[in-house]
Amino acid sequence: MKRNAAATMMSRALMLAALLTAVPAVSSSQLGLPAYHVGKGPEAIAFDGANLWVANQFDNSLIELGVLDGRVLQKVQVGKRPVAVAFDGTNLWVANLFSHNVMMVRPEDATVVGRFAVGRGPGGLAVDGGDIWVANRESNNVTKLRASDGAVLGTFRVGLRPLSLAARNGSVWVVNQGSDSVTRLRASDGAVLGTFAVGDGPFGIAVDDASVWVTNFFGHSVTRLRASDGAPLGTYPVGDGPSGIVFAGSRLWVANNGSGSVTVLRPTDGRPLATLPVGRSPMGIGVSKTLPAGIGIWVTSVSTNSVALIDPRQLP
Amino acid sequence: MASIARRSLFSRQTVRRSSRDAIRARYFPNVVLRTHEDRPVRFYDDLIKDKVVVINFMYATCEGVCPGITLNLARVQKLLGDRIGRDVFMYSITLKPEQDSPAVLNDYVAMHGVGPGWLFLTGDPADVELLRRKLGFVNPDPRLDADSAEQIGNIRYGNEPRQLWAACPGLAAAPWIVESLSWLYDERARPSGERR
Amino acid sequence: MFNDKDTGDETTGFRLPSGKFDVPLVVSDKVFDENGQLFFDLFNLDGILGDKFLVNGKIQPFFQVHPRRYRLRLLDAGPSRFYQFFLTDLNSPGTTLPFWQISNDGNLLPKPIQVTNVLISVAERADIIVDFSQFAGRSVVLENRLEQTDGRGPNGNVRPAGQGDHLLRFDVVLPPVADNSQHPATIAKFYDLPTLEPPRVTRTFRFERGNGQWQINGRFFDCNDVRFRIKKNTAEHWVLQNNSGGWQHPIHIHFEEFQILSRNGQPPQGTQRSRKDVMRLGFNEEIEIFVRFRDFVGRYPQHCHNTVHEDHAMMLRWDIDETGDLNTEP
Repeated sequence: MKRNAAATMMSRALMLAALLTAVPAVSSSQLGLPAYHVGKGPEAIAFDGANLWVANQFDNSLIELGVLDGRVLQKVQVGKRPVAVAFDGTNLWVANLFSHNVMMVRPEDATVVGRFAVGRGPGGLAVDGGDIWVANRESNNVTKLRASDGAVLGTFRVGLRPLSLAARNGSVWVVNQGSDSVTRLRASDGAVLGTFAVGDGPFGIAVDDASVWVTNFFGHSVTRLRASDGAPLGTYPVGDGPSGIVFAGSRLWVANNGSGSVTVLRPTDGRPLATLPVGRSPMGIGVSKTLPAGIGIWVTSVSTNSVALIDPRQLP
Repeated sequence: MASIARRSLFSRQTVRRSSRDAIRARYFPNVVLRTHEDRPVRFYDDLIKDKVVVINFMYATCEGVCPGITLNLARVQKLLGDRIGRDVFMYSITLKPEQDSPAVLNDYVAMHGVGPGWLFLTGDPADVELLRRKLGFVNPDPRLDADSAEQIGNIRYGNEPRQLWAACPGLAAAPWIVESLSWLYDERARPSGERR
Repeated sequence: MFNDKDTGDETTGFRLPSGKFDVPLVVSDKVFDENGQLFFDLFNLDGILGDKFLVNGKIQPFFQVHPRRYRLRLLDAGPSRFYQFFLTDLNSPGTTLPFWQISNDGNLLPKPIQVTNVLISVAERADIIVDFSQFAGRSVVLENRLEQTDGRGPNGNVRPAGQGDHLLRFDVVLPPVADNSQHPATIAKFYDLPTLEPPRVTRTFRFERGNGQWQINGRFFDCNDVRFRIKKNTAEHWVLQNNSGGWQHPIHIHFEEFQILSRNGQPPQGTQRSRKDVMRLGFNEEIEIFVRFRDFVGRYPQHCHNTVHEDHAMMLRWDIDETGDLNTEP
């Protein structure tokens, strides 16, 4: 199933036109982004180097979505309420919120090859070399697992309702939605290196060598912290209900769950470059690198059971 | 049951104030604002007192829900016709008074099909900030407040003398917003439980 | 609700504590201004948490009781706070003090259930039977241990015994009197739940954020907008879903009561096996309910019962009529 070439050109022209006007459309239906049907209630999406994997929380499935045409290539039943997925270089990991476990899935044949109990309400995943970190929303801690065999290497207390986490340069940054804070742990031993205030209801996180970026779901903003010491560098407005955030193509992409849009920010100063309507309830964002054209930004719509694709080449 | 709460909490004389006045004091500072036509107005005395009003917050460069809400309120205005400025008064207040001068707001008004009788308002940043806090478009923790626009997706409306206040999504169906407003100024329009 | 075995006379019917031993406890949290006047923040849209806890309109009252069984009818009157009630002896907080829950949302359970706590969200009700004879001469506190610092919903933390909110102190100092009520453990059955039947249609409701506000299935409330129509004298299944970004909502359905068929794939347990009219929808939850409609027609809403959310239209309208529709995502 290839995308219709004319529809593609039309949608790109519309996208460019929308970006050039001062008042972007509120409804996404005008824009015609390609959208692909997946399972029920998709929040989490991850790229495995070739294709995308989407966790569908209300039908307890993980599906592989082909990058070239958005077709469902494989499907596997996982645990209950899968809301996070990550790729460790070899295998996929899925966090099952109501099964209180994570599963390791072999991508080649979409087979569950491991099932490991973690804390209560696992809902966030991060990969740090040979380790997997899991954020447990109900037990307010994180679990460190060895990716090779799922052995639990440690459990470490963080703030309230840790939703997501990211690892970089020896630190693991954990977003505590219930505490309006981020906890920094030393990856080697889980020691708490600091706790930093962010905005209202922090949800998602993206890190690079210099900065930690956190979306504030209730605060309609993103907070930037300095990676070296957690110092606050700025707070920048985005849409309503910002959730997923990811670096791609030297920009930051933020899904605004409550505005039905994606805000594109310049990471050097948090300046908004564009706001793209993407349809109802966008939540997770994944980045693919194997489209012929280059990078693809894939956004899950948790209410419409679909994933939309944004082509970043259209941005200034 | 008896209460163990102490009754002698207040050693000073209690000020007896009407509830209407208590609402005024808490929510409606009488700051001076400037309209998009660059006229000065006092917020409570000129805009709110004795009126049925619709209030929302926006800013000219907002790319989120604001443009849609302005367009939707323009539909509401059209449906209300000549009631605007007579039975119902509409106000849009900027969250960025430093950027949105009366001239900027005037351009915005022209661009968005805003009809007469609906005022866009700016003013001294400290005054607008006070108003924003009082009307609840703010996070009480200044650390969290920063650039965020809390609850910007909602519009507030009310009948000031009767102390009736409510809110609804700014993108709710325009005819329904009009109907909800009509309950405030037209006794006959209020739902009585009879089938309509 | 009236029923012929819940008689109000503890010598007849189910012999539940009655008369002065049947006490409603309407719980709410309020804010008072500098003049001692009740203050309601008109422009708060997330949810209001008060700093003063009231029971039947009095701030943290004490209640002198006889050393016998009482029926206490708990109601969370909001505006926004959720409660998890325990009985706590402050001189020995670590001691678990169980009691009996006999109803949920005004409906007697299939039978009494011994519990250590009861969790209720705004507008939910629970009747409990406490036997104060075990505390004769002492005091015991009705304590809320569920932590909530945000009007949008509790943060999941349950505070240690003694460190919660002390709403009401029972002083068991009145003289012993006759207790003609029946021990709840000896009540084998109140009522069977109504039988289920296959639904005419299953409808799904997604609670979500959209266009800057809460929506249900992507739309706002409009009282002129009939989201769906139910055929009279039929039964339906409704599925309610909430995602990671959602608030927690106590959802109230007007007119008919429902039974929870499953919460996140599990059948209801214990005190949740009941006829109810409010259900607490937490993060990422999916609740499926059975509702049966009779031959009354008309217009009805379902809405979030966080009073503040309700006040700005987190609801939708449905009608019962002669023909109904089969819209599965209204």
